[in-house]
Amino acid sequence: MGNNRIGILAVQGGFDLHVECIQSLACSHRLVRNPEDLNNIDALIVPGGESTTMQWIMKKNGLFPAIKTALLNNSLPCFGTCAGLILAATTIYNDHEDSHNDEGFGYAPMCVTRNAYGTQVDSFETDLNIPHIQEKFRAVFIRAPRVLSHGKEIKVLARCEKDPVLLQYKRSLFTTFHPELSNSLAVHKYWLDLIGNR
Amino acid sequence: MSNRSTSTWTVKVGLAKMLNGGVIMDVTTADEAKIAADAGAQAVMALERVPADIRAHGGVARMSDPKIIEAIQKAVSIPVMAKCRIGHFVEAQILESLGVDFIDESEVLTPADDIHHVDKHPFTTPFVCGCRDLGEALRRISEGAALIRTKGEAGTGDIVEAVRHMRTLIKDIACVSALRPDELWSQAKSLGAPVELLRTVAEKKKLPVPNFSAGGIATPADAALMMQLGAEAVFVGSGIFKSDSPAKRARAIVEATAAYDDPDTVARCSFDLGEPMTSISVDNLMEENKLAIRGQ
Repeated sequence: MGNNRIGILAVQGGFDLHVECIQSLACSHRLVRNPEDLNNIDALIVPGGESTTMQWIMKKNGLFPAIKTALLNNSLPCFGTCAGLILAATTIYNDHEDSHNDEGFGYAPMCVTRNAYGTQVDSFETDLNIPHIQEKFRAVFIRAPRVLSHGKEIKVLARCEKDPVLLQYKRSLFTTFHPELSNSLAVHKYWLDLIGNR
Repeated sequence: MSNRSTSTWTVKVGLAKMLNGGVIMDVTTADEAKIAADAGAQAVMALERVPADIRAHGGVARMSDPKIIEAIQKAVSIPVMAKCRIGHFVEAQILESLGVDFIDESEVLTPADDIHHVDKHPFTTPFVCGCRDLGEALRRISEGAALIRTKGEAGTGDIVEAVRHMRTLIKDIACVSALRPDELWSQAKSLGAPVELLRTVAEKKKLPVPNFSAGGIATPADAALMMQLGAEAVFVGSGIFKSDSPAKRARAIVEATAAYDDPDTVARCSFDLGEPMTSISVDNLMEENKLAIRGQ
């Protein structure tokens, strides 16, 4: 159905869940593990997982600068969920002693903080109202980050209480929750439409 | 918000699913946790002594001092797991109160109950438990475990038991998938597992929760072996901090786990890592000294 080839970053994290979503929407995908894998894709999903681990592996094999360049050129629209949102942000706050690990792609003008709701005991699921996408979307927040501030170019598509949780920047989409853990494909479908897939 | 809920099954298994393709490292201090995080660990496991030391020194191995767990939580932003003794639900309550991200009800510590495991359903914190075959895996899942790891033989540096348990589990799943629906009842009885869970396994041809590997991983090649055999991630215990150069070995194991099916990368990161941990062949262990037989 779709004619874009969707790359899914597969160095660590919940990438296989995104593979299932993209397959359910009848799109072709390719796992991205090395810089060469970027040559044959039109858009990139950066999944949930541990952003510090993903950063480390991508820096080791040259994938990190390659993705960063493609994002900053505006040649690679992306969809970042949870850790993917953290990696895309221009500023990452971290109050842990390992904060020197933090350098993301510096792409989307937003300031984010990790594990903003607490540890796993504070992880939760809740119904979100996402105007024009889905009235009642069951969203799963796992050790979720929080967007503290963002540039005017960013459009907030949904909030949980006061926090922006679904954000659009150009043809890229970011969530602090995990749409890949929900039963609904509405958010994935919205992004595919946004990048002109159908 | 009224429809907001914590500790649902989706939230518990969700964290386990985010730990796909990485390495969880045993640490006993905040400094070790920082070395692990800097080396790309996706989570750390806090415990009092690594399995090799538990094996060497004997005595009763218990949950870590909460002071150490708290220091580790302050030190790193990645998830912090911690071990409690099998059946010791008060240690589990303490770990939940400390806000650890995952509780490992582990055979590596001295069991507190020789019959019962912790009833894991009432907890908000998700649990991981060990198994040697499908029956054990499904019993732990029915008690509420949101993540399974094959046990292997911790503290030996010998991969043979990890391989045996992973192959057994995968073979058991394949066998169940080939059964007729009316055969699942007697299979459930012989495995000692609920038939509902067995039916799910037969349909999906996999466990209803992620399955990682543990117990004996000492080299990048060991990690890649377990990943190629079907593990979704690996736990490394004594293998890192009991080796000559922990930081270097930790980095190499992380890289090999991520690129487990790329021999060139696994070869490159196996170069010049110094001595691995002092290892014990499982063949030379008396049956009663095996940790894996605890908590069936």
